Amino acid sequence: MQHPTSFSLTDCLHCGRKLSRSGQKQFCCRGCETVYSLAKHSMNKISDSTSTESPPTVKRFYIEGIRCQSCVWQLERLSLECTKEVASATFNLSQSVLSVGLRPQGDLAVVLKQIRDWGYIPHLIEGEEEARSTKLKTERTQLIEVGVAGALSGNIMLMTIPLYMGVSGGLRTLFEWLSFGLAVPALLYSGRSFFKKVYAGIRSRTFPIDAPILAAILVAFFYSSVSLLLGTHELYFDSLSALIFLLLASRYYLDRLRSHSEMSLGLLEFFQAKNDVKVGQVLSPVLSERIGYDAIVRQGGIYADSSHLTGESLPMWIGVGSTIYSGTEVIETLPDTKIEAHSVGENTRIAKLIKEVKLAQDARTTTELASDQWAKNLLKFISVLAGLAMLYFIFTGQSTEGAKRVLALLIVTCPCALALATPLVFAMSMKALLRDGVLVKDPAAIDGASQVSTIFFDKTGTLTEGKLALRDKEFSISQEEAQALYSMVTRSRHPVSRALEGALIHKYGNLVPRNLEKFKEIPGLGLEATVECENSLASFSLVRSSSQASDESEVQFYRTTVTGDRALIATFQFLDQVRRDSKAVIQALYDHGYQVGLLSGDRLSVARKIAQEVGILNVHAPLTPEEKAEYASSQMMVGDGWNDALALSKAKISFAVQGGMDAAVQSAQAIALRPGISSVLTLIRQSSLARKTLKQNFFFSTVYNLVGATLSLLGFMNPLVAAILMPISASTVFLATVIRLKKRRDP
Amino acid sequence: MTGLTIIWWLVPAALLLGLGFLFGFIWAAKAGQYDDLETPAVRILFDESRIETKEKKNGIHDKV
Repeated sequence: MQHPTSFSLTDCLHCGRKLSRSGQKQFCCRGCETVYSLAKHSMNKISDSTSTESPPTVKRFYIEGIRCQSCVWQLERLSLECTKEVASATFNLSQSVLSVGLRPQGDLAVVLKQIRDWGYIPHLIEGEEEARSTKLKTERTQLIEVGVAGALSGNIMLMTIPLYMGVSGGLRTLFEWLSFGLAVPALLYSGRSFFKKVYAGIRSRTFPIDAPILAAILVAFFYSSVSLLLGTHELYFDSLSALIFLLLASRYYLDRLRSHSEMSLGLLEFFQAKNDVKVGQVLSPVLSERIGYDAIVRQGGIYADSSHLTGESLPMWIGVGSTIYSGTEVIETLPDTKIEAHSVGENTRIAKLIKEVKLAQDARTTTELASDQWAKNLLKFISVLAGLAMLYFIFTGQSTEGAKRVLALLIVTCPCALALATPLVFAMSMKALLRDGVLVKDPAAIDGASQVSTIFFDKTGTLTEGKLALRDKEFSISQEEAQALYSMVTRSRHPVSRALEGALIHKYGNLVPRNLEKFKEIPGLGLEATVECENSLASFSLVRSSSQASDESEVQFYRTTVTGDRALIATFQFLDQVRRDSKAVIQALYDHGYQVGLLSGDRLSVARKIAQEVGILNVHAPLTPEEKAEYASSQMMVGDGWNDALALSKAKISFAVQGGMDAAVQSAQAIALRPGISSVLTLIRQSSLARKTLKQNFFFSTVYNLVGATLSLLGFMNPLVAAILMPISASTVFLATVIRLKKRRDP
Repeated sequence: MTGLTIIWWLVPAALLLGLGFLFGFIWAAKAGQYDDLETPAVRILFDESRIETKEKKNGIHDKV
């Protein structure tokens, strides 16, 4: 994999950071490798399809780590910073999406490196440019429909005021016909989405929620038209066009907020490494190789990082007879290790998992909001009532009077209040949550988050920080010894070495690795090397403590003197630290009456200890991703990693913590934009508030509809009164919603 | 009645005026001016806006 730009072979291909060990192939960390492979992948696509003179290709990234408005300035400087690669860069603040116009000869990897250097995390958004521009076009058309409806209804209002004021003669005729003329395009152009939705509903044999709305609008329109021709002056063109405008506007508002959810992150090709390994082939794994197939260890053994499946923080020992899964990274191996591939390509476990995640995600889009179901039931009831009433009037020979009363019934029970307020509740909740650091992709998360009984948490990366840290930051070793230790750990990929490297830099500032002699990494045990220290050569060893407890890792640093005695210099203890807010959040959830569970792929002892620390009573471990999904289905799942993706996509409500992997971010309905898990509480609080508001609205509408229906069937209400009452009820519900959702500000 | 004849002129004139603004709105929506309502408000505050604009003219637009 040679690279066109100026990276040398000792630099990470993606971020340019110095590679510290010859065993490391091209990347310094997995993040770089992921992004680089994604970038390469899409680069290939581009170079296949474009010639050298072709215009720039638009690539879109969801940017994580936007803090303030200056980020816009920073990100849009991309076109000045990478002039060779980038023709243009436009950032959309409300969606956190950066659109990059990539020149045909430009290398996406360089662009990604620049964005990462600035401290943001770019996630490539999948999807064809065509599909996106179609969507953009639809959005614009919707906006025009709203605008046209607004302009028309405003003008009709102006025409109607003189009519109400009692203008007569030629002017009256003029205003009546003008309002008719303006109402026609409002109905046929702006209102066409109602026709489309009802038609689609009838074709798929479901009850369209728009049917009664459309019926009310059509009835009002034809009643007014007939009355215009007969000269009876009962015109409702103003009400119907205002209704169309308000409904379209509230729907457009919600749709716009929802467009986050259509983001599909490019991530899945990564684990399906393209290679020509055949089933039954025997191979020897290379250090820091990412295995691209499922295999059985036939000889020797491997220390491997399979955190993508297990979430376990430390490398696992995979001995003879055990299976090593695709996506696993080799950390250390015994000499002469042989593995035999038994599934490749689509048959690997990770490929099957990806497939299942995709299926589960597709299935989710059909879930219906509870509030829609209530509204539907109410509407069904009204329709049946209207039908029965009409039959009654026909049989009793009062069809003219009956038609008038049923008309009044349909207009008075038009569900516009609900249709208007429901999207508003979700839109306002999504906005409030976004401000509080939760990005909601699917309104179903707001609808259902407070309704689940159990909330399951993942361990590594969700309840904990997800990386090893030194337990005691105060250790005392001399500068020279620190130098020696640093030189050793920079050569190792083991997580403990990485953590130690960080701790040393933190304490001693910039250290330069020295030449090592006789460097040896003993799988599962430690490191040893001879380093220059205090102007003479000295042997050092970093060894895993023999007496270590199983749930944390402890290493000891020794210096071997010339006489062969080992002197202990320091002991380091590492652990994956629990996030600061975990305990308080779990306690709050228990206080609110929820059950809390821990689902972990890690060892039971580790899971138990963390659970104890944060106060979770219910622990399930070790679990495979598939088992996690089984527990989480019909409950709420909070996770961050690859091994949670399936559980997230199958759970009733899913939440990804900040910094989660692409797979989790994509599978989840809601994403935290701030570190920690307290956002879960935010979501649940907003959810129960939204739910209360929805119920309150539904209660208002039901009472209003029942009273209105009774009055109109008894003949106490004529269509004119109904048409005046309709907007009043709508605005009551509307105002009640806004006040209720605005009022609450939790400290 | 004579006092009201002016209305026969004013009403169509008002409608025409409204129609003009409506077409202005449709044009703006089609040109993508409403695609992103937040960022431009921030972008105008940056010093290097002139360079940015020039760059963008050479580059691509979300024209559909």
